[in-house]
Amino acid sequence: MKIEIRTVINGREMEAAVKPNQTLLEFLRDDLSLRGSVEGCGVGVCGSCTVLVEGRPVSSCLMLATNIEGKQVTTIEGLAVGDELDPVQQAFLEYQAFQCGYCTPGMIMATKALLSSNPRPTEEEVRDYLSGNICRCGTYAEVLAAVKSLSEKTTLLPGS
Amino acid sequence: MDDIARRLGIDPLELRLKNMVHEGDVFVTGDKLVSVGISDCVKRAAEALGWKEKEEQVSRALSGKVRGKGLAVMIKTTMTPSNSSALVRMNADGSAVLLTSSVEIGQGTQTSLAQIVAEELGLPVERVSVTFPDTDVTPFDQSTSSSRTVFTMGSAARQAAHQIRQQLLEIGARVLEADVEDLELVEGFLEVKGVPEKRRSISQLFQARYGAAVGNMVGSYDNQTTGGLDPRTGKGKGSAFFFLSACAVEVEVDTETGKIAVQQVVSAVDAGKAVNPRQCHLQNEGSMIMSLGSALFEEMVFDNGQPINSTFLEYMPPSMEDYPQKFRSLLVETPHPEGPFGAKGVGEAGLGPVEPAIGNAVANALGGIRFKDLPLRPDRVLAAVRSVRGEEA
Repeated sequence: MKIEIRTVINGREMEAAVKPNQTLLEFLRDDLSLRGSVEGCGVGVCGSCTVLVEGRPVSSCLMLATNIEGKQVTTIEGLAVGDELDPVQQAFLEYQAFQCGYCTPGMIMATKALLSSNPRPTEEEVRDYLSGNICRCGTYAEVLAAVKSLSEKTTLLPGS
Repeated sequence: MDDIARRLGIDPLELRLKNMVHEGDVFVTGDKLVSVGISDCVKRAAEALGWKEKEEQVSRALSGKVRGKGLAVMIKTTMTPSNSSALVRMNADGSAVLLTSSVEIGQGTQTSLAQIVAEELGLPVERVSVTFPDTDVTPFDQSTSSSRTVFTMGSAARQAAHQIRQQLLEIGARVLEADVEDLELVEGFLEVKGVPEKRRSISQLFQARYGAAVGNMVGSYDNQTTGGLDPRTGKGKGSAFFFLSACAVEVEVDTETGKIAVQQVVSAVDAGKAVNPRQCHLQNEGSMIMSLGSALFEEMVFDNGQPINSTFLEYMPPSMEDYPQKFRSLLVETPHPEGPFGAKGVGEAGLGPVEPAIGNAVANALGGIRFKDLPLRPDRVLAAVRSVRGEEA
């Protein structure tokens, strides 16, 4: 059995047929070939599958695809405009805020969500907000520095 | 080590420095040690932490939150003997390709190896590409492990590039009518030293050899590190190179809850020569975070042989909230004669001393209480504190 849904993925309206038990992560990766979002733990605690649904961060391994009916979803693939990286991506690159890169898409999406709700977070707020995104390479110092550089920029981020 | 220092009334840093191995010393295995920056590592880590010698050994009352500092040093081996082969292909447009089976997993192998080849061939680093491993195509590598890639594969890559360098210099000597010793490779050109206008591009050297700017020059090298220990005596050549590192930490222990908070952590590793300092720091920082997890809370729990905490719901690696307020990575450079440009491995170098440094800091905070099991869980800490106080556990 499949269920018809209407949704907007990275700004593109679409209709799709999904299985009732299919997760949003499976829908993105298997049906739409958007493989930037990755499964780390599968139980919603590592953050590597984070995407934005209606601008809010969601563990896509826990949400069912049917739950995005009528909603806007943004994934890591939806951030760059052409060759121009999103400021958060650019900052992660500049501060070398990753090693193996597995947690990076989720870390960047969580940072997007943080900065759109709180453009100038304190270090404590960043630590608290991003504590749900685990980096096994331990590159927290660089992620903090990248986010700090963004929170110091006066211009508002696109999408915020 | 700290218990000995305490009994002798000596500062733990001083005790370590007095007994430290030095350049040229013969190790317990019989190895003659080279590239021994360990004293610098521990001195610099202690300094960065704000270590104040004997003052750090004052006994504190076991109430409220107590602070303590601790140090540890480490010497560790790499897989020996082992084998890495590399093949470098120089193209007529002045670019080069390193064929290697080393695996890039985020540790920066591709960048470091490209830098080593670029340095040997006098090329801008962006002119060197590095393959991913494909056992059908790329030459053998023992493993991407044991922090051996820069040392073992890096040496193979450098030697392979060196063969091409020799070819380029010989062609250049003919074309420019100069001695090989008077030539150098700089930024993709071959120049007469001190006479930069007398120069040829790599393409022109290919032209001189092949009649047209086509073809390849190829260099390859099979690097076999030798050694190994006699299983009977434990003697021999223990390691192709030794990792040396030191860690210094400051902790705060809550004697009412048993919770340990790491306030400061400094790790200093001897990189020999840091091929890519930024990447070396990232590796060292990762070592600190990972060890902090295994020291304080990471633990596999079994029930009748079944793991009972096998998801991230029950087994949590350190998160950004566990990342200490003061966190520093230091690199010491004591060149190793057999490493490429003096480099040694750094990947795992920082891993060893973090847990013992935390253990020493906790013992220091708690007036000498020692824990023999990791992780230092709050319940273990609390039970020990209560037992010393003579309270019921």
